[in-house]
Amino acid sequence: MSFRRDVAVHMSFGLLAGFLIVNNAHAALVGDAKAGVDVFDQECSDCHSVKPGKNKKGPSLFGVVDRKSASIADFVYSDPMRAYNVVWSVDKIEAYITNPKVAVPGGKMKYDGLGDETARANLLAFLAAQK
Amino acid sequence: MYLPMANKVVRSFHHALMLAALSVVFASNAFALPSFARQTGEACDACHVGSFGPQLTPHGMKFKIGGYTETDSKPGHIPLAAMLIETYTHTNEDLPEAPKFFSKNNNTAMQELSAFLAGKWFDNVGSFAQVTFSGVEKKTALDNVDIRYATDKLLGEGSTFGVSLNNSPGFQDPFNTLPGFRFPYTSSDFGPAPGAGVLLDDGVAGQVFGASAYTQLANGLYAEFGAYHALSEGFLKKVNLGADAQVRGLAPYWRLAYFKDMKSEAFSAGLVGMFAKVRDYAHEFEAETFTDVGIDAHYQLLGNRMNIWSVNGAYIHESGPDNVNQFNIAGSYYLNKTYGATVRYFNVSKLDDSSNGWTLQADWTPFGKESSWGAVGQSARGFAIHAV
Repeated sequence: MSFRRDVAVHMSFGLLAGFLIVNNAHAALVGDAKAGVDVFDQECSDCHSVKPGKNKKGPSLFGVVDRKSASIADFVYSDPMRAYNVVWSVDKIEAYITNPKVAVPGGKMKYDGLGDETARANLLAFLAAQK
Repeated sequence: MYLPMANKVVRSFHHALMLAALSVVFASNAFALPSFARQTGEACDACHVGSFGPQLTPHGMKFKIGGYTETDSKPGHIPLAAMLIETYTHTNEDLPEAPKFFSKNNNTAMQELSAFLAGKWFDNVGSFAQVTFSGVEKKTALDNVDIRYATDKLLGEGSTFGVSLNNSPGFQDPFNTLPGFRFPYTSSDFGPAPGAGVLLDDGVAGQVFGASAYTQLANGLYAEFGAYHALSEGFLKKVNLGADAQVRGLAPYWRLAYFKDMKSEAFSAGLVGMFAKVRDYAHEFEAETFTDVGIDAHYQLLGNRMNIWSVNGAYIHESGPDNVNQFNIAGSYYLNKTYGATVRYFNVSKLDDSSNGWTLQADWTPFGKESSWGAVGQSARGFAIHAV
């Protein structure tokens, strides 16, 4: 399905607000925030919440898109994450969740990464809607 | 247990089955290990299938392998918790004798009131240690103890090395397949005892103390080796445990498994073994030799956690006076992390006897989810068990 056709189909159901275009060097994907709920529940929810201020072993992911890294005051980040010092753009988040150990070597997130491109796009769309 | 332990247990179980072709237990648990939840900031459903212990999700298995030490990084967590189990038990035929303080049938009891030292003590060291008051026996006794050291700095990225000090061989295992920590996790003290019969199935639980070193490698290999030694009769009396089965010398325990967590599903498959020379503490009988070797596996289909299917099974052969073969398999389904159903089949056979049966459980767990009231402060489950 082409990008235009995909967006058009979903606009017709009034769901555009839940979609996110993810651009990287390899592809341009449209994420489905609704499908991203399941990806979040499967991949992230053990350690992360999307409730504001709710930190688990990982920090709250409410408002994570465009948030400065290591910026939640009452969460204890690893030294490598504190040194990472980026703004969590969609691209940065995607690079991180693709392979956290490569993006932030020595970080404490125990996650091997999400290899499926579509699942990543859906997850990012879901996270972008958490604000 | 006592020595001819296999004989005794299987016979008593067979007897109980005849008496209790229909056994129904209603129970409610309150305050189930919120210390782990407080420590991690996670609700019970992150680590437990059906939002209530002890059946573990892959996340919970890793927490256990990690020595109960993972936290939300905040200080000040107190690793204390309590648990209450209330039961009502009906059997289709009256018990031959009324238990002390109770009737021959239709008994309601505060079966267990337990206190736990459960969680991180300090860096790399944590515990799951339990003291239990039995409302049936009216006494307080030392229960399961598992104190761990674990580190992920020794064997490279994604690998854990640890040491467990525990008093029940198999209890320390993370996969809910071995007798020490598998379904049925709770049963009535008035109903039939679940199919025991081998050394690894509570044969020397509580009577020994041991140390085992283990590793979970990033590639999925889990390996453990340790040994157990008998606790002294004096110590067992002090902690209100009967001195029944005394291990002579050291009893080695080993475990080899492969564990893979693919997030949407997970499985493990492995081997386990234990060797022990055991006799009674009074030395009225000669020591006998037991060698257990088992094969086990589990599979979980987790998806988005709203429909969780799981199967856990194990076959254990014991070379000993009775050459026991024990087979157990349990399958469960949990809907919305709240409503669960589990069915289990067991078969225990030995030289001149055998028994088999089914256990059915339906349960409801209203709390323990992130959206629940008091999500990390308490937990509760109501359930009914039917054993045939």
